[in-house]
Amino acid sequence: MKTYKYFFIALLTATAPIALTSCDDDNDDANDPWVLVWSDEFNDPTADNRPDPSKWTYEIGASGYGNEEKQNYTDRVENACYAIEDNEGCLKITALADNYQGVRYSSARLKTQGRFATTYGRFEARMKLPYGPGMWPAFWLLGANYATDTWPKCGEIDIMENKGYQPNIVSSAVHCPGHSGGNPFTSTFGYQDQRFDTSFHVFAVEWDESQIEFSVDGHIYHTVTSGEMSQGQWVFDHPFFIIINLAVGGVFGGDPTADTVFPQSLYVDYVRVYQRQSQITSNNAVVGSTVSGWNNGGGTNADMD
Amino acid sequence: MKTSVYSTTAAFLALSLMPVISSCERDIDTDIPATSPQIADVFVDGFSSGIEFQAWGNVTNLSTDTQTKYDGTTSLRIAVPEPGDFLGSWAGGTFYTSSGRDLTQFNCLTFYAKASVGASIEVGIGNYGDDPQYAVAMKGVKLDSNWRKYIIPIPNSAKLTCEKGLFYYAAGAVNGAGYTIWIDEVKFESIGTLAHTRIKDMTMAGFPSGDFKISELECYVNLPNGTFQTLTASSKYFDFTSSNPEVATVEGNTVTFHGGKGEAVLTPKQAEGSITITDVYDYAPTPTLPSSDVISVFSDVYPSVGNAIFNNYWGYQTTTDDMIDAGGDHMIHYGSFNFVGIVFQQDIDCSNMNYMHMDVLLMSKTLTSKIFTVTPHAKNGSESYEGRATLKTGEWVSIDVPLDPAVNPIHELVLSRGDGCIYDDILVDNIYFYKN
Repeated sequence: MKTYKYFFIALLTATAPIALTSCDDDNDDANDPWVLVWSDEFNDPTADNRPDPSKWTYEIGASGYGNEEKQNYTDRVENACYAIEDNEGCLKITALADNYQGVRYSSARLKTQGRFATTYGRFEARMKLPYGPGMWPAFWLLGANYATDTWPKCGEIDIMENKGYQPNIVSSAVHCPGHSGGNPFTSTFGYQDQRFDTSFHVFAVEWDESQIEFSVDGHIYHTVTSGEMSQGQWVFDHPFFIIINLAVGGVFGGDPTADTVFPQSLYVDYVRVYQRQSQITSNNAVVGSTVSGWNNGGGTNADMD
Repeated sequence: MKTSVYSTTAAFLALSLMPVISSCERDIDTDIPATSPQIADVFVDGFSSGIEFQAWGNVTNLSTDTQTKYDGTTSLRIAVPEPGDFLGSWAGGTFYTSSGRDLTQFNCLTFYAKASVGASIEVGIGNYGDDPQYAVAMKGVKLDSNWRKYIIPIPNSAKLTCEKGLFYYAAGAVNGAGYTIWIDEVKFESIGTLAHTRIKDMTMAGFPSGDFKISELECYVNLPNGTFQTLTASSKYFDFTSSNPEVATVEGNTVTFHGGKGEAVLTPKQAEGSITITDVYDYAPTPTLPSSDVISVFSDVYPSVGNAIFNNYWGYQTTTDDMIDAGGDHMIHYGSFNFVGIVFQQDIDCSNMNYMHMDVLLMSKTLTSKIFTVTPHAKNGSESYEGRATLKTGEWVSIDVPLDPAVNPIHELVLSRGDGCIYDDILVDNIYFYKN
């Protein structure tokens, strides 16, 4: 926790100008600007070329994750590494049809659990998606309290999900009590004449105490407000951590077909989290201890330390 | 959401206008060669300006229809004949322009189509004249009674600076009966949701010298629904780089061998996928027997008899075949080889011959079992003596097997892997019967 506090102050000083320009197009408030509080730019590869262990941990295994997913999530460099794509330093998550450990597909699911979680803010990632039937890339947030307040009570904010057979359409969703599984608050965004797997696009959510607002490349297309929820459904006032994964198969977009080309990769140019200046400064820290660093990974968390 | 899409489109339009505006401010450069017109339409409610039609098969198969159409006033109506129609047994034709069009700004041809019965047809572009350079064929296109939009992707439209063949179709009867096809709104488009052009990964044999033509490639373009459209396209759409120019280089659709040994990977600049030259092999030994002692089935030295079919596609076989012309030296390449039948359309009387000869080269470097067999059969199924050899990777092995005089005339040769299960690439040359 102490480490994070200092890290923060340094970040505040260093990144404020970037924050101002980056959010110009989106709901900016000159009196209360967005300030970058956490990011991974993926520009400086680690010694072993694997994701920075101070920021990311792995979900491991082939449990299907309640969605009949067909991949085995690993912590191998083959499934998650640094790479250059379109001249950008990136995190590259790769789905392979390699029968690793007897499972037909392998891939990776990275999360900031135990490294970073926060309440409210703007979460954005610039990504180039994989393609083909059976690909299910996702950029999402999960309530850090999920071990005690089990899903969907912990809350889930899906900033971007894509069905590999719809290369020009993405969707977002909010899962909470009464609106989860196949019945979340959800909406899709599509480009008529461009795809998400041929160039990078910015997927973002802006989340505060009253609403959750989703955008693609600065186009806001979906807002979920606390006002439209019934009593007990708004479970979005506690820290959430970030997850980025590339699932293969499952109930969302179906399984790979003979048409699906492997390997397939999800490229992440950066992940950034901003918060309002007022939220950070009002308590001389972050409001309600919204930024947390802790070490109890739990579950199937595989620490990289 | 609509707002988002429209605002993006508007922004894109604004951006795309900029180069046009700025280019108008430049002085006229008289060194620029004359260019072909950039026109999208082929047939919308009538033939686009300069479009002509050449019928194939049944010459009267094409007309127009003002009653059944997808949009506007008029569609194309194709009457697919019964197979016995004296005017022609199938329907086809090509839409062309004798002056050529610049299609570089488009990436596909699109049209709407439906048919009076469920049918499977072939369509494509670039097919006009005796020597089409940039043909693209889309086979097995399924039509039914509903109007649907079809997309023929252009693998690399930068090559189409002056293309004459704009659209073609070919259709045959269904269950022995004729039917009607309607086609409408035929035009070139630039669609931002086409992506990931890829050629089928292939392996081929290399030779010490000579030119080898790649006639056409199977290639794939990812469609807006995330699935791949399979195309058969001229290799001239792509520029290839070679990983080992001392072995081979590519110019146009011709691979030229330069005498180097080893592997070379040929990679198109404009698509994913590659062609791998697995190794460089010598030519098969040239036969030396006098012609009077030989009845040849396949050889560059002797005239061939028997009118052989070199792959009869029997059940359970995986074997594919293609003919290699390596600088005038012809040989047969069998891929995914488990067994194959070489069938003579005219049985061969070998009563004066007492041996069969065949040269075989194994391309694989990894096989442990390399047993190969060949057995001549008579039409009634009776078998002559089996020829059996252990193949050598990268080397020609000659097989000479005595003929059983009781099995004559000879109707077919059965080539097989001795273990019957491992698949691989082999080359075959100089198949003949002889006496000694």
